[in-house]
Amino acid sequence: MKTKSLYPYYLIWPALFVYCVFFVLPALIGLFYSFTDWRLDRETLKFIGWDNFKQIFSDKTLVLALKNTFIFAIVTVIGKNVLGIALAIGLNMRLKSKNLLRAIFYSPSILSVLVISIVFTPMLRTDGTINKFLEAIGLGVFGQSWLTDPSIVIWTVALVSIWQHTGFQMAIYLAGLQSISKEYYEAATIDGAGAWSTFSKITLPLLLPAININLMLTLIGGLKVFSEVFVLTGGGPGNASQVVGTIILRAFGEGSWGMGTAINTLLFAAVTVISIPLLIFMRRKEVAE
Amino acid sequence: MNHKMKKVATGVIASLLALSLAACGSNSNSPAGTASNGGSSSGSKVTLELAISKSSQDSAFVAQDLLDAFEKETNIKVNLQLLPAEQTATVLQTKLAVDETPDIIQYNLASAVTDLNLERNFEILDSEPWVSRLLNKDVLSANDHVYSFHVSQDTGMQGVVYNKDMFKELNLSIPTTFEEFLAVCEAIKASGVTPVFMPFKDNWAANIWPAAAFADYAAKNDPTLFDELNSNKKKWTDIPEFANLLDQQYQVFKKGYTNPDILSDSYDMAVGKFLDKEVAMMFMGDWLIENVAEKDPSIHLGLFAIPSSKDASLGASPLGGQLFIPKKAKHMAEAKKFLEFIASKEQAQKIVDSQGYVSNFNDVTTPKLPDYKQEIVDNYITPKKTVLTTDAHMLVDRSELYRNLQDQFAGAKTPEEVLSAWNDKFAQLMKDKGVAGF
Amino acid sequence: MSYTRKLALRNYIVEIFLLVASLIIIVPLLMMIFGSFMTSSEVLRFKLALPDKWMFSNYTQVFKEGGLGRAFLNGLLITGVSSIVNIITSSAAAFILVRRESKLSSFLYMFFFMGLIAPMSIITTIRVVQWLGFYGSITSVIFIYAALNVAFSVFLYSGFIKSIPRALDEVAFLEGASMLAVFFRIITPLIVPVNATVAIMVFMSVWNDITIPLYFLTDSSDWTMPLSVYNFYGKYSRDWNLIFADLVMTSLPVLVLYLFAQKYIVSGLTAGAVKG
Repeated sequence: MKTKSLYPYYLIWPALFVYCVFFVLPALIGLFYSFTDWRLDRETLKFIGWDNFKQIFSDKTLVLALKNTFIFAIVTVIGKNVLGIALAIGLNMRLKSKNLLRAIFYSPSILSVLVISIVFTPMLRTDGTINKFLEAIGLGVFGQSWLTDPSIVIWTVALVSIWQHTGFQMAIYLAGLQSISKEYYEAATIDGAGAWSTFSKITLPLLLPAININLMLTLIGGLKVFSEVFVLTGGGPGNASQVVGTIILRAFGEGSWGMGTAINTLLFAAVTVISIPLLIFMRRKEVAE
Repeated sequence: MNHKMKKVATGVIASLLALSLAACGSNSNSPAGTASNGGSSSGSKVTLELAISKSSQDSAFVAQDLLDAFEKETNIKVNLQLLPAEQTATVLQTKLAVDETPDIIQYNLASAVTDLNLERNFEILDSEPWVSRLLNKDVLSANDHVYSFHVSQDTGMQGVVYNKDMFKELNLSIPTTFEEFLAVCEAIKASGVTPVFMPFKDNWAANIWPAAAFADYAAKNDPTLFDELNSNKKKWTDIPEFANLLDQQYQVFKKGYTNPDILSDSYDMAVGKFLDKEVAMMFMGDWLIENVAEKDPSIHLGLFAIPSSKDASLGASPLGGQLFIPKKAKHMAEAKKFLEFIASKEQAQKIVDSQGYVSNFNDVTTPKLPDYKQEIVDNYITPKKTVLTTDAHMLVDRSELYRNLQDQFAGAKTPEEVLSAWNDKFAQLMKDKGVAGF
Repeated sequence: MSYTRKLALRNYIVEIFLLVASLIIIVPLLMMIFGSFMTSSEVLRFKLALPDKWMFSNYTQVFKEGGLGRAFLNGLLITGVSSIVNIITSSAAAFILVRRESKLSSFLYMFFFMGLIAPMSIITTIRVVQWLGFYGSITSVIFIYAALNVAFSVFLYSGFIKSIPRALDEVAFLEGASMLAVFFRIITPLIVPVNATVAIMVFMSVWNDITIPLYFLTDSSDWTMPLSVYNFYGKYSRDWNLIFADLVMTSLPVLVLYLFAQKYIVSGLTAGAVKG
C-alpha cells in the first residue's frame, strides 16, 4: 500500500507552524544572545564568542548547582517512576475504591506549585508537622531541619516533587496498562505464571512505550528543574540548594542577561546529550519487543 | 479526492485561527486596541498604565479616591498593573528592554539605578513645574537630575526596632555598646520573652545589621571607604573590622537570644510576633513600626541605632516608593499631568496628612509626627547622628551578599569566608558593569 | 474457586495498603482546605484541625477582592482555546509522524522532541509577537501556550498511537474511507483515554501558569486565576486563610475537569482492549 498518499504530510503543518513561529524561532534567536555581552545596563550588544561559556565554569556555585541538579534528577526519575508503576498496577486491579484512589493520587499534580510551597513550608519547619509526627510515632531521631540544613535540602525538595508529580506519571502508566489486552494475562494465569514473572514477562515489556514516555519526561523535567526549588527555598539557605535553573535566574537578576542565556544554552546542550541517546535506545527496544 | 482533503484540512486550520481570533475579538477593550488608537489623541479617553509591585499596593499614589479625583478632573483613567513582589524587577526589566513600557512605574530610586538602568530608560523631570517647589531635590535625583517624584522627603531609618513597654517594665535603657546590648538581651530572655526576632528565611533581613554597622564604621574611621571599594582601591577583605561586625550578629544568635529556627521564619511573620508580644526587638527599618501601629496602636515601638560600636549612628536608607516615567511611555504628556495633579497643593497636603510624611514641598505643611518618628528626629536626625547605609553606596545587585550572610547562619561560612565570597562576586559584577578599576 | 478467593484477598490487601498510603496525599491537602475556613489568627497555627468556626465568608471575600469571576473567565478562554488548538493539531501531526516511516518523519519527530528540552526565550518571543502586531492581546497568549505544549503533546500521542495496529487503518482504507475519516472514525475513538489524559495535562499546565500572563498581557484585568493569589500575599502580612481559599478555588476547575475526564479514561478500558 502506498503510505505516501494515505498519510499526507499537510496534517503536520498546523502544529509545525504554531510550534515554529511561537517557540522555535524565538528560541533560536535566543541562542544567539549567549554569544553576546548583553546586559541590562548596556546600550549595544557586542558579539563575544565563547567568553560567557568560559566564564561560567569559574563560578563555584555552578559546580554545586550541577551536583544538585543531578541529585534531583536521579532521585526524582527513580522515585516518580517506581512509585508511579506500582500505583498504576495497584489501581488497575479490581478495587472498590479504585476511582476515588486514582483521583486522590492524581490530585497533587493539578495543583499550582505555589500551593506546594505554601502547604509544605510550614510542615517542613524544624518544629513543623512532619517532625512532630515522627516524634509521636517514636521516630523522632529521623527528624530533620528539612529545608534549612544545607546538606539535605535538595533531597527534601526532590521528595516534595515526588509527592506532587508521581500521580502524573501514574496516569500515563495507567493509560499504558489499559492498552494491554487482558488475553495475555489470562494466558499467563493458565500457564500458572507467578506474579513476578507475569510482571516481568508481560507487563513490563508491553508497558515500554509508557515507560519510555515517563522516563524522558521525568529526566528532562528533573534536569530543567526550577519552580520547586524557587518556591521552596529560593536556592537557599545561602546557595545550598541552587540548581542550574535557579542559577540562570540569578544571572538575570544580576543584570547579566548574556550570561544567563549562555547558561541556558549550556543546559539545553547537556540535556540533549543525555536524553537523545536514551530516547533512541528506548525506541529501538520498543520496536524489538 | 486528494484535493477535497486539502480543502477540508485548510478549513480546519482556518476555523482554528478564527476560533483564536474570536477569542481576541471577544475582548474588545484589550490594551493592544487602546495602545493603537491612544496615540492619535483625537479627544478619545486616554488610559494610563501604572505598574506597581503588589507589596506596595497600599501606596497613597494608587489610592482609588485619588485616581477617581484625577479621572474626574482630567478625563484620564489610570489602570493599575500589580506585579508579584518577587517578579517585579524581572518583569519591569523585560518590558523596558522590549519598549513595551507602562506609562508610570512606582519603584525605589536606589534600586532603579542598579536594577532598571535609570539613565537609559527614564525621563528626566528637571523642567516639571513642581520641581521648583521641592525642599529636598536629592531624594528624587540621580546624577544631578530629577528622575522621580514623591511628596515626602522622609527617608526610611534602619536600626533595632524595640518594644518600649517591655523595656520600661524590665527597667532597661537603650544600649549604647555591643556589651550593653548583650546584657539587655540576657535580661529580656530571663523574663521569658525572645529578645531578638531574626526572620532569615528572607535573606535580605540578615543584611540590616551589617549594612548599618559597616556604614557606621566607615563614617567614623574611613570616610572614603565606599568610594575606594567602588573603585577597587580597597577590597572587602581588607577591613578586618567587617568580620567582627558580622560576627556580632552571629553571636546574638549563638548565645540563644533569638527565635530558634531563624532560617525557617520569614519577614511576614514579624508583625504578628510583635502584636503577640513574643519578641522584644528586631533589626529592621522603621516601616515595621508603622505596620504594627496600624494593627494595634496600643503597642509602643521605638527605634535605636544598631549597637555595633559605642554611640553608633542610626542607619538611613534612601527614600523609596517614587514614581517614574519611562522614556518610551505611550502617554508621556498625560503621565506628567498625573504627577502634576498629585503635586498640587491640595492633593499633596491630603497625602502628607494621611500618611504622616515629612513634606517635600515648600507650600505643603508637615503634620504632627507620630511619637516614634518625633523621637528619631530628636535623638538622631537633629544631632546629625545618622549615616547612609552601605546599600545606598552600592552600584550592583547585592543579593549574593545576602545569600552569603544566610550561609553564615546555616553554619556553612565564617565571617571571613562571607567577605571573601562577596568580594569575588562584587569584583565580577563591577567588571561586567564596566566600572573603571575592575 | 480457591484461586478467586486468593485473588480477592490479594485485592483487599492492596486496597487497604493504598488507602493508608493515600493519607500521605490527603493530609497536606486537608490542611489547606481546613485552613481556608479558619480565621486569620487561627490558621497561623498550621495544624491539622477542623476550624473552630467555619468561616464561609472567606470565600466570598476572596472571590470579590481577588476579582476571581473575571479571572476565571479569562483562564477558561485562554486555557480552553489553547488546549483545543494544541490537542487537535498535535494529535493529527503525531498520527502522520508515526504512520510514515521515512527519514523526514523521524527528523520531524526529533525536531518536535527537542521542544521538550529547549528553553523558552521570553524576550525574543515578545519580539516575535510585537513583529506580528498583536503583543498584549489574549490571542498572542493562546498561540504561545499552544506552541509551548506542542512538543509534549506530540511526544505523548506518538507513544500511544504507535501501539494501535496499522492493520486497522488499512482495512478502512480498503473499504474506501478517506484519510480524515480514518483518523476521526478509527484512530480518535481508540485514543479516547489518551486524549483525555493529554487534555487534562495540557489544560492543567496552562491553567496553573503564572509567567506568561505577566509578560504578555499588559492589562491586568486579562490575568488568570493563579495570579490572583498575590492579592493576599503582601510583603508585610499574609492572610493565610484567604490565600488557602484562593488556592482552593483556583484548583477546583482542574479537579472538576479531571473527575469528568476520568470517566473517559476508564471507559477507554474497554475500548482500548481491542486486539493489542
